Amino acid sequence: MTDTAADTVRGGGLELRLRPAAASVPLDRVVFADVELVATGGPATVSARLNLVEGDLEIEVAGAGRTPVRATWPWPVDSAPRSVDLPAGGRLVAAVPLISSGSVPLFAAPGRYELTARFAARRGESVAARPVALVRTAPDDAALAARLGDRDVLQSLLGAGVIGAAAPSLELLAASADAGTAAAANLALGRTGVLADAAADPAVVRAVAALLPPGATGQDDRRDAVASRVTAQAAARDAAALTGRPLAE
Amino acid sequence: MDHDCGCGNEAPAAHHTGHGTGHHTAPLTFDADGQLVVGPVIRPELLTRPCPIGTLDGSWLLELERRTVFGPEVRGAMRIEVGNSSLRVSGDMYSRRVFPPVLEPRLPIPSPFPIPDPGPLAGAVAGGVRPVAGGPDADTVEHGAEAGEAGAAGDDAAALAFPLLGFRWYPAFPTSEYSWYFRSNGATYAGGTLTVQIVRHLWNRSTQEFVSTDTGTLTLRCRRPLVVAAAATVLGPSQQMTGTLSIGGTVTDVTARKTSPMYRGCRIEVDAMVNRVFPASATIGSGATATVRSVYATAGWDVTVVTDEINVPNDADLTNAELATLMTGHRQAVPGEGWRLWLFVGSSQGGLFGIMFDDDTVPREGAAGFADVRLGNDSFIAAAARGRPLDEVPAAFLRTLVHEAGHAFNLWHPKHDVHNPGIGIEIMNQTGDVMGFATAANPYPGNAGFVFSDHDRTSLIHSPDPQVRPGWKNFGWGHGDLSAGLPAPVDVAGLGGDTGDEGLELTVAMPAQAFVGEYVTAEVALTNVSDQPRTVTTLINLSEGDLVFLHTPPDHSLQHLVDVAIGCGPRPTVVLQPGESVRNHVQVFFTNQGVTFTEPGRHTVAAQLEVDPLTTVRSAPVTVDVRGPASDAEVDISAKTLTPGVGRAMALGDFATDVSARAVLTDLAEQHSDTDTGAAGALVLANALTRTFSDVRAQDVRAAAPDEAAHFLDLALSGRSAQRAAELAVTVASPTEKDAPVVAGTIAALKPRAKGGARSAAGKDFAAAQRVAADFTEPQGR
Repeated sequence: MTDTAADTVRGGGLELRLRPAAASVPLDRVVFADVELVATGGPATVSARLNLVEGDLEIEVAGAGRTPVRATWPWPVDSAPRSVDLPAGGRLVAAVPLISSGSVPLFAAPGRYELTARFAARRGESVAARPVALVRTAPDDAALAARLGDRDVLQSLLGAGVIGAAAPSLELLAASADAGTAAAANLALGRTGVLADAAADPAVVRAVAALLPPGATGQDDRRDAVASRVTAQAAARDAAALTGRPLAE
Repeated sequence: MDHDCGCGNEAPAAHHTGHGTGHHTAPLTFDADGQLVVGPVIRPELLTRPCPIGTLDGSWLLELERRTVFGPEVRGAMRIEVGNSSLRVSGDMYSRRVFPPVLEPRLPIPSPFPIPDPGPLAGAVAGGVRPVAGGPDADTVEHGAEAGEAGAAGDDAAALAFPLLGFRWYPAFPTSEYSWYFRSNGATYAGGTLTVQIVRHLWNRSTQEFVSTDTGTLTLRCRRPLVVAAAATVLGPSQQMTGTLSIGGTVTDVTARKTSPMYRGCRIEVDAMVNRVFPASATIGSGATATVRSVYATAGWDVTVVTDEINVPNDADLTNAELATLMTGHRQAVPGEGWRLWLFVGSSQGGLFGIMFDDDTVPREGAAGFADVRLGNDSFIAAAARGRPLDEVPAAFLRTLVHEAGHAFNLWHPKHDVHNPGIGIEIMNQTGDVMGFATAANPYPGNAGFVFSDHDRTSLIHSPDPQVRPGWKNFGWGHGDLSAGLPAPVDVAGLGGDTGDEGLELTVAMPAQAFVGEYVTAEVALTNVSDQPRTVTTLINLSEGDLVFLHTPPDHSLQHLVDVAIGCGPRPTVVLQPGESVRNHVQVFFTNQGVTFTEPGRHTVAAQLEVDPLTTVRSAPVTVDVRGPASDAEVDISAKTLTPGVGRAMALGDFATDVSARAVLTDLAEQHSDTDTGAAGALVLANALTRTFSDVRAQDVRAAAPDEAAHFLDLALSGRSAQRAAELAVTVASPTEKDAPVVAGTIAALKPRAKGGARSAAGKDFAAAQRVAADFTEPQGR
């Protein structure tokens, strides 16, 4: 069953929720999704590694007639476990980029895809999210979509820095009408001021949180600059995604 | 074992030339002391006998003889892995046209890795971890010992202490010349002749992928001198095989020259950021000393570590782009085709311990470990390591660096590997997962295994060059999303995978993971896979002597597991028609060895069954990854089931007169009946309380308590499928008690569930439960 509104699966007092930022995204834009782990059964101590970098979170992408692939970071890493205490009803929130499987584009062609997330929330316990649908439509700008498939560009976006010969493509992406795509490119290009000025846009915050996941990446001026602008109570979720701190009920 | 008796009686039959053709008929002459006179009388190099099988173990340069002077030059690396009960062969062949044509085949120039001067970080003398296991014969032991010395003596000291090690080399050729990969698909070795059925995978140089396969036969003859000088036992020109390769409709003469008793080699250059420490050696949990070289030697790899720069300018936080730039700027230029890797000791990248950062168009050439990141303060981390920067905990940092280098050789985290090898404590598990097996009593990094899993070891030795060699195919080609890779070579016939009887198949199924104290059961099945009826035992249980479990805990000791109570009697049999099986469920929680899974880490269990007086069959081993209890509930369950007396009660299906065990079982059942362990406790109580129990020693009788028994039976069945409830019931009942009340009681209590009819889901579930019970009480083939 696929339903973007009913996107949770209960398990052991925890729920994992996956929700793409948009139900339909052209191929010349970067896809981001929100992920939440909710303590539905009472207080819980869970892994804080709710990101794609460290491997506890897996998102499988299945397209019609295609072999399912996993959204993965290009570079395998080693790290220690980190945990966080969730109060009853509390949430650990994060954002993830759905860009690549390793260094290969995650979405090969326009079409309807089914996304399934699974998170190793505690030792020996994984929680799965209900599958959700995502439609990738034909690109508005085919040339830009092609650049998004370039290895250096993918790695630059995910590495939040310019790798190889990606700079010209990143400049074009930074001019995208899509705030998330532009933010991802500006992040790689190191334009802290541009990001901070746009911090009121949830799409920008989501992109920064997804590409500089707290804990997996170290202190970063770009993330700090965006976080410093996200102070209003209405943006509590954004602040939580940037800091890794859990949200109360 | 092949002995050189020196008596001369066998010699005439073994007089072959080095190429195995013709016969040498020179008489043997002995002196007054009976010693063979060597010298002008005979030419001992012409007196040969078959090589012991262990001689084959290692790396070989395989060359195909050119059919014409215009033909391509075809040569490559062949790896022969001789284990205690296995022999596997794989190879990677490269070809090129040689212009102008030469009349004689070009002999390759051996190109050993340059033995480096000890670097500024070297000097620690390592010891301990023993590399490549030797074969069963004297020669292989000798080579194994030699390799062991190399691994134990430290990276550079080894070459200095054993100059002959400089002769070791590993055939490597330009990637542009790659032509095909081959692996064994069965082999025999008899009388000095190795015959390998090979599967060849042809490489498309344009697409850089394997495109097609064919099969053939590689035959190699290995002879060695009857009289062997001590120096000749080390690698030398005598270690050569000749033979033929029959494939693609042609037969080609081939020559194989041994290049090393190990399988593959790589030069690892280590550069370090200023004030960060590379762990040249580390004391590991076993008390042994490990190095990068010694850990890779356990997988048959000959790694040369060269410590180069130790003053790379400081940068507190490193991005992948910066790491790539550092590799470009600091990696040494090394000529030749030898495999090499750049390993960087850097500062930090967030909370990461390490990363294989290089996945560009020439990928997997660099990896990094981060010295500044600190270990946590958890109780499962050794007290001396808590809160320390990684480079102040040498064992932990060494593990991470070896792990990251493993990614550069295209190994994946087990939990992400498409082959699902299972998590454990071996090198390629993420540190977080290894910590999952640590306890306060056995903390990290002491609990970490400084070895590669069998899956990764096989990949390191036998996977194709494009997959393993740094700088070739991208990360994920072979274990990940890019491809699952090619199948591993198959063992030589009769050595590996010997099940004892080809017509019968024994299987054992167990959960892949468990926590310490969890009630674990197994399903054992014996299947007639022949086309003839077979008469077999029905005693598929651990109580009556026919079945035994061979258990290997993480310390690699071997335990034979049987029940705590053994019954003796005639062996009932059943005739299995072709395709039929006889099966049963047994508990593995508590046996004659006590609680089976008390030690976190990787365990293996294989079943061995005496089918009849002349036939014993064995199953393939299954792996059980055991971890410490994680949740509060698991901790409580573990505390209860590990209480003295409880395990024995669960194994016997009765607490007898142990009132303490009864109390604990009652708490276990009342508080945790939602788990199989709690349900098993409830079933033990239901079984025991249904009947009276006579305490002969105390001349007392424990009265039955049917109401309590019914209560506990209800607890066990509630929220559980009929089939699973029956499986638990038959495992808590003693196999020697076919009329154990818990089995009949369970089936009777489950029967109302089948009211919906045999075709309903509940009806099918009940029917499955009945079969489980029948397998216990009256085993039959089906």
